[in-house]
Amino acid sequence: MTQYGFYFDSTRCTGCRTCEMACKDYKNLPQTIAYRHVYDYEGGAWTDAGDGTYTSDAFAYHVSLGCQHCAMPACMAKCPSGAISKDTDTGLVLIDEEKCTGVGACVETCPYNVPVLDEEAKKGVKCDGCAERVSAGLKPICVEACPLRALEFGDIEELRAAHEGTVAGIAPMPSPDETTPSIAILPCPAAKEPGDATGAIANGKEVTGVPAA
Amino acid sequence: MTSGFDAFSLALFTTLAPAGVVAFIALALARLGVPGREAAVRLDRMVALPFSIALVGFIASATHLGTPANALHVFSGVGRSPLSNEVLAAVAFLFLAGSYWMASFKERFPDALARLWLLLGIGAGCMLAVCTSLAYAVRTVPTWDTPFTPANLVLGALLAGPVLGLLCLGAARVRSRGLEAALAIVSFGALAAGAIVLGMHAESLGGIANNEFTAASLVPHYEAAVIAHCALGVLGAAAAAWSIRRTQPERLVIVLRITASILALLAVFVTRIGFYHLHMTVGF
Repeated sequence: MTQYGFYFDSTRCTGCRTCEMACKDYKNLPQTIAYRHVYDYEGGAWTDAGDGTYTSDAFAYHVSLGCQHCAMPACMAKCPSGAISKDTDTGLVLIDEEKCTGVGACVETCPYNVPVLDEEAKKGVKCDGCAERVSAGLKPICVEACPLRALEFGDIEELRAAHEGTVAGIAPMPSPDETTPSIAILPCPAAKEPGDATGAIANGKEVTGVPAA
Repeated sequence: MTSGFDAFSLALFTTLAPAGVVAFIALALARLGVPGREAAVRLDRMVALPFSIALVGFIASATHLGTPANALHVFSGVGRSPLSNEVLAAVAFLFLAGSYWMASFKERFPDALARLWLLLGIGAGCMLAVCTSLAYAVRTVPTWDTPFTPANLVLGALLAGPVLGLLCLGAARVRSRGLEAALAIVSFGALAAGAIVLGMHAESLGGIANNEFTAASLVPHYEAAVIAHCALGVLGAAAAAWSIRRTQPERLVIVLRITASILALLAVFVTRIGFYHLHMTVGF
């Protein structure tokens, strides 16, 4: 099986949300649902040296995340009705709405906050990697929309080979050991390791529904 | 939270179903060792009580399904998904307990058959308690994936279940001193052990955090809930133990045991609510 996935160049991303909006438009999503989120991760401070000079370790960067189409998806493992599967050709993680009970086990288990419950359809929904576009030989809509060309899509092994120095997670993402996400991220110089405690998601209310502390 | 998971209905389920199972087991044990035919019939009638309590819990848990029309697909995950195993065990237990209750109305209900049926029911009930305990072993949810989760669930069942069992026995007018004392002791023991485990659990929350919040911040009143659990539990178990005394009117016994059951179930329920509010993932 080829495992498809996203490449995200964090050195290019300006946090403009074009990927997110193109996805919402293409998928015709309601106001409250987005399949792709841009996390603003910020931290650091200015330190007064007392002699009129200041030093700064303040930083801010953006992480654009759809579904990671994990090799070991926590959502798929815990779905009681077998509604979540990995496509045998592409490795994309898909929800079969004919089987979904809307119990929300995927929402509870995914550490990337990817599946959400569509309150109207009463079912779990998420980024499907634009499976129908991919099967037609096209790229996902977010990839084509990005004005900075910070996103790519394809065989994740090929993407990792083509871009030197990629990792499978930067803060605020959790450690990739949990679910083996099929994502390749080129970290910007400010990027922190997963588990970093020096920064925080600055737009929590926008991306996770939890207001920033 | 937009997960569709509803702390109230799940807390109700995990309070009522395991307690119903333990009460059923208490009734079944009394029935298996019962002296006379009359008493056996009265015990059989009372199976309706633990059965309906477990059933109410099960129905409550089904209310957080977004699309109940697809509910039968749940069985496709049996063996693989802990939630599917839990649902299968619940259905098996409810089927065995409910069908036993109905079959026992038959005029000549063979004792050997009754015993086998009850033993199967006990087995299914134990499976339900085990499966419910294991359903929260989710690696990406660090606040649930701990040994405290199954311990709390089982100890909660052993606190409220025996008290509920005493109510069933009292209502069936079957007063076996040994069994009653044993049930009261189990209930007190589970309360003591449960209080320790809950305290350790509350203690452990300080070390769990993701990028957004600490586990402790999710349940600011967890300590208060644990104290409420202990207070309600002590009152409930004490009322149950008080009801075992021989020299008191039958009506008082029943009143004490109803009160005890409500208090014990409430004690478990307050900590179950806290447990569901503890949901967080290792990510965001």
